[in-house]
Amino acid sequence: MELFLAQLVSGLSTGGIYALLVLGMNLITLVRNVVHHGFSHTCIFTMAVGWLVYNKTGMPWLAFLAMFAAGVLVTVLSEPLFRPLSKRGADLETIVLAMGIGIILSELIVNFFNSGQVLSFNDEMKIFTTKFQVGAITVSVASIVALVACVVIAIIISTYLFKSSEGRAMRAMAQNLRVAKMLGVPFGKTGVLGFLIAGLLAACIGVICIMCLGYCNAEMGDSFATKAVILMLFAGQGDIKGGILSSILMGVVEAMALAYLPGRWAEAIFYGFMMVIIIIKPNGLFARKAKN
Amino acid sequence: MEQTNTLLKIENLSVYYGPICAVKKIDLEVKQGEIVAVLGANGAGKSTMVNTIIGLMKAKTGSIQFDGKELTKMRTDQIIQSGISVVPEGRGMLSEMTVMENLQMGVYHHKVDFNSNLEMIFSYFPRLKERQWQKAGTLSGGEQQMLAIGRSIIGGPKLLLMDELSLALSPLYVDNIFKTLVQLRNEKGFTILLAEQNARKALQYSDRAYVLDLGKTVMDGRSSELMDDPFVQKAYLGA
Repeated sequence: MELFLAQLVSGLSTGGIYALLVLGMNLITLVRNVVHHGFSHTCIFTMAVGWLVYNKTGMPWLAFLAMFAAGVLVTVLSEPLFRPLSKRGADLETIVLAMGIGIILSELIVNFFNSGQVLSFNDEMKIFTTKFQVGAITVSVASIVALVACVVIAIIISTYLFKSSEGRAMRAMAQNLRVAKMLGVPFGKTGVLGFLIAGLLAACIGVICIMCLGYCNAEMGDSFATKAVILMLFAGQGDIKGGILSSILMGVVEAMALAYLPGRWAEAIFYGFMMVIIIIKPNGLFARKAKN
Repeated sequence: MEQTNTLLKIENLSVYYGPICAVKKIDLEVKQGEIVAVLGANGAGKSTMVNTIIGLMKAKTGSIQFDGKELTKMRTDQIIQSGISVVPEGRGMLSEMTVMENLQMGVYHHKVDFNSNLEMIFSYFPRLKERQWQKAGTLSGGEQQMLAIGRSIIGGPKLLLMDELSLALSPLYVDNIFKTLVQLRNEKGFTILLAEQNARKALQYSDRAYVLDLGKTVMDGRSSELMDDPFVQKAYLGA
């Protein structure tokens, strides 16, 4: 029972991070109809920037600020690259572009940060380092704070998308770009706004990962990206609520599989389950009917 | 009712899809408070004209003057903001959004009192009030057309463009929709430009009409007169 609870907490906070990753990618999907494989790499890149600034200045707050600047800069500057492809309705080319951005960011981390070694964060950057004992298990304050932060951020962004007029405009662009334009939604400006929010979100994910994991390296971008892309397609591209729910589900199932299933079978079982879902529900687990 | 000031003036307009000429030479004028119909068969250039007015397509030559502004130099969002609304061909539903959200999208670019305009829309189309929390994709064809019209007028535009309003609607609905348009013009003073294949209905409910053929304005006049014109009767009314 105690093992179960411990795995539940850790699964929920990992799921929360996945949820934010998928949310960021969904934001970009809404405005430019691309699967931004490189979004996860952007998150790791902000962590690397935070590490560098902290090591040079010793000021954690400056490091966090730099992370947000880096997240926004990288994301917003990539928007003009996607724009012409999105305008002509390109599909596969956007994947190449998004992967390219991810690879370039990973190489930057390998070549310019700590000569490719793992970047470990100081306790000052991790903020919450206390752990407490509940019965026989240890719970870290950081994973609880991370969980709460994920919930709050997910609520803020979903509310923005569903209640504000700009958020509505982004969803309208995803549903029918032509009609959205006819209603006066500016293709350029709303797109940049979507990328800007995704950039802020990337930095938030970076900060949460620092708290929970305490380290990063270039390869993390790839493993995050694989999971985020699969989760996004699993829930249905652009499905905000479905993306959040399936990410949390995956986090918990993963944690449970690690604890209760033997050895290396956990991932195979999980991806097998995903494959079946994608085959029988082509529009995602939560789609009720085909989109027209 | 009819006033003399011109709201929309299209002169010598030509539009190309790559090397293919879709609109050769359109000249057209819409005065404040008028319902003007643009008739023509498939491929005559009606939809191209509508898309060029709102900047989705670029004019090769000619000018489009609206309310003192030259539209051919403006972006679509600026054009919409200047006071033009569109009912797109095929109704253009945002089908995954609710009726209410579709209406809210109608005021995206217009600074108006949403709630009082919403009451106005619901008074013209009570069905939309009943179905306001339903997804637009679940409405019937006629209800979707009501929603498309409601969404286009809720922002209080100066000019309404309606592309193939009667397409895929039952004859009874077509009459209802056109009657509502006339009522909207009479009571709220809307100016309406209809691009219509259904020449009979369009002539019945409009004040003036233009006939397009192969991208050119070939005839224009009062709708009642065009209705009696032997050429129009033969070519468009099947008489």
